[in-house]
Amino acid sequence: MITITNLGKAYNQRIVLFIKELEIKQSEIFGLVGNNGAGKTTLLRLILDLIRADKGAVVSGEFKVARSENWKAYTSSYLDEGFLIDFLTPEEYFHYIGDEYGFSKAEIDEKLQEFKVFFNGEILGQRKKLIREFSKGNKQKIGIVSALITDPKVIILDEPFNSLDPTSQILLKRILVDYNKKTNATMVISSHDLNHITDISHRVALIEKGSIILDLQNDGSALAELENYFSA
Amino acid sequence: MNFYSHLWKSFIRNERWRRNLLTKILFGILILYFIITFLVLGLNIGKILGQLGGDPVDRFNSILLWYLPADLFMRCFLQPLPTIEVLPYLRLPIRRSQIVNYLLGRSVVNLFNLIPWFVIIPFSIQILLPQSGTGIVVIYLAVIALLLLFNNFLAVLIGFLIQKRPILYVIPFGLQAFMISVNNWGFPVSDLSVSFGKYILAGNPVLLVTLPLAILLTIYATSRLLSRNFYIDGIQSKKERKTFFALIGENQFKRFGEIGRYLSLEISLLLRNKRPRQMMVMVPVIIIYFMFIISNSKDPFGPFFNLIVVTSLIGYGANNYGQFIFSWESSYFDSIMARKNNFANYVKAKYYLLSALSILSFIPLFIFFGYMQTIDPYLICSVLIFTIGVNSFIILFFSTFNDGRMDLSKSRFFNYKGIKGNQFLISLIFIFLPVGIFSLFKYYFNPIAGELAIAIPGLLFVTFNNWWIKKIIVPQFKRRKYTNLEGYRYLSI
Repeated sequence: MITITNLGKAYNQRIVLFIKELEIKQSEIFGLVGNNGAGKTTLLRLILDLIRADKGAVVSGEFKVARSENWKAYTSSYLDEGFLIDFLTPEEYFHYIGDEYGFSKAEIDEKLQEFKVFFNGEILGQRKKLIREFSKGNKQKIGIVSALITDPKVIILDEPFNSLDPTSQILLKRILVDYNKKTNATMVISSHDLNHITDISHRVALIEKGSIILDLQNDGSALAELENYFSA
Repeated sequence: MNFYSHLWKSFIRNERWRRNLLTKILFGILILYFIITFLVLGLNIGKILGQLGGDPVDRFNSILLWYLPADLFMRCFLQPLPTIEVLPYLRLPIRRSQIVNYLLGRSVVNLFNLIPWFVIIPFSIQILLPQSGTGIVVIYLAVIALLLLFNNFLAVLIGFLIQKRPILYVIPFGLQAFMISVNNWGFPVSDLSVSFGKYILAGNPVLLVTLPLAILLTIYATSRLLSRNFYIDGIQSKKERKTFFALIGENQFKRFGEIGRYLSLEISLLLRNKRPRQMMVMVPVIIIYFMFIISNSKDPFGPFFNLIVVTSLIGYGANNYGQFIFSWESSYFDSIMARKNNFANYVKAKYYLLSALSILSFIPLFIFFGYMQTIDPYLICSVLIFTIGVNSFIILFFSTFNDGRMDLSKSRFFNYKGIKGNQFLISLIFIFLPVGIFSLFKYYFNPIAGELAIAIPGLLFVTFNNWWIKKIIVPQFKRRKYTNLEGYRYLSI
């Protein structure tokens, strides 16, 4: 689904990312772990064509992301708070995004019902509360859900478990796995939480100084291997 | 002292400041120009006042009461407000009064407090000293210094008040209007000013006592106002949005399809955020102010001046909104580029709003000047067409080069009036392109040719907006995509 070849990015002649070859398969949940500054967000931004690749290319489906924009129709993402339009109310925001992808208000409202438990009664129905007035965790929930309501085939999430309370983290794991089972969507998810990421991913890659140094099929031993690496 | 060095660093390390060499140079030249102009004026003050006739001291003093309100007015818009990101310091052992004192102290360091002395000191030495003696000169200089200082702190206070409530822009404008009214109602300000000068020169100590008191009062009021910002919850005012809330929100322009969706988002952006709202409030205030000035002036302004006023007022809102037309959305620009969007319609929505702003400004001006009959109504219409057509194109094109992040929701005391060289340049193009073309054709042919010369290209650009948006603006917007994305993440305007 997503094929990366010879992808390189440098800032001031310092290489921050180089990936020779990486293929993320259709319907795979692809976990990405790595220490701060390893290049996780850079990779996700490159996949979304938000920064210019100095070398190589990312191909999503049959489209080169830097050349075509057709991949945007089936891709959704939430990287950081900068993805939220914070002067809208959550519902206005969901409807706006739904509208962009051709969903009616009623369709979006119906989809939102599925996230009622995740929202814990704090997000929907607050007609006068703007997104910028919500807490960090609730903003995170709004952002993640906004990436799930447009029936995407590819989902890119950057550290989705951050700022969420334990209940919500567990709920989110289930939401993501269910979505993947139901729709066969491809997911690229970065995280610092090794337990969570190995719980949900089919495959986990470890990124360090801009390159992928471990690429593990998640068949039970991945967590131990990762823990071993990070504690060394 | 760490605190002070931080403030200095925050100024020096501002990304925009670092990157934009051109702005720095432009600014330096401008400052040098003012200093030299005033210095030349000051050195020749004796000659100039002699040529004007009358008592040179009275001549000089007659400007005082004109200068001081004008000075305050200019300060309200141009004097940079001292700013600081307070939040990181709240948990550190730094006295609040220290922060306030620093802010107020720094506000004194500005050109408005420096430049007048290039004229006042030569005047005092050349003319006042031989006439009145040292004692009086010292008192005179002290009073002037206090008056300038009072203006300084008053401008800071008004500046902060305006940040809280944009509508208070009426204060500086109202003061100007008041001065003009006083002048027109049979109290010539120049005469009052001469008496005021005589009063100072009489050596009466009253002013030397009252002025410092007034300054202290202003400082006290300012620090009271600022102290509210030392609480995290004080930084966001809860009341602000309620009034505008009901106005827009969900897609109100559904029948315009996709463009309608972008349009309603754009309008919510303008109404629900402090910074753009501040800008929008200025539009009617400025229009009303100029109407007042024009209808109150004894000598009618020349047709050229009228044309410049009309052009700048019709374009004022569009210019201010348009300069940042893409930057307004900088805080969530990543998500715009990551999602499915039809950029032709995206730009078109902005274009429509730009046009609407011009038309809304045009209507009261058209009625007003129709009543005043100082400018040909056809000319006003031509200017409108040119603004909507050609100027919109220019501004949309150049705004893609604006890669600074716009903080919409963060209401820190933050303000960069001044370091906006390129914005200033575009404003000049905005005004002088139509005025220039019109004047050229009027000069070589006749006024009707001039009107046609701006109306026809305007009309062409309006008619073919679809074409140039698709073929020029959108490709340009995409070419700038990566640079702007990066700038919006890191640079602040």
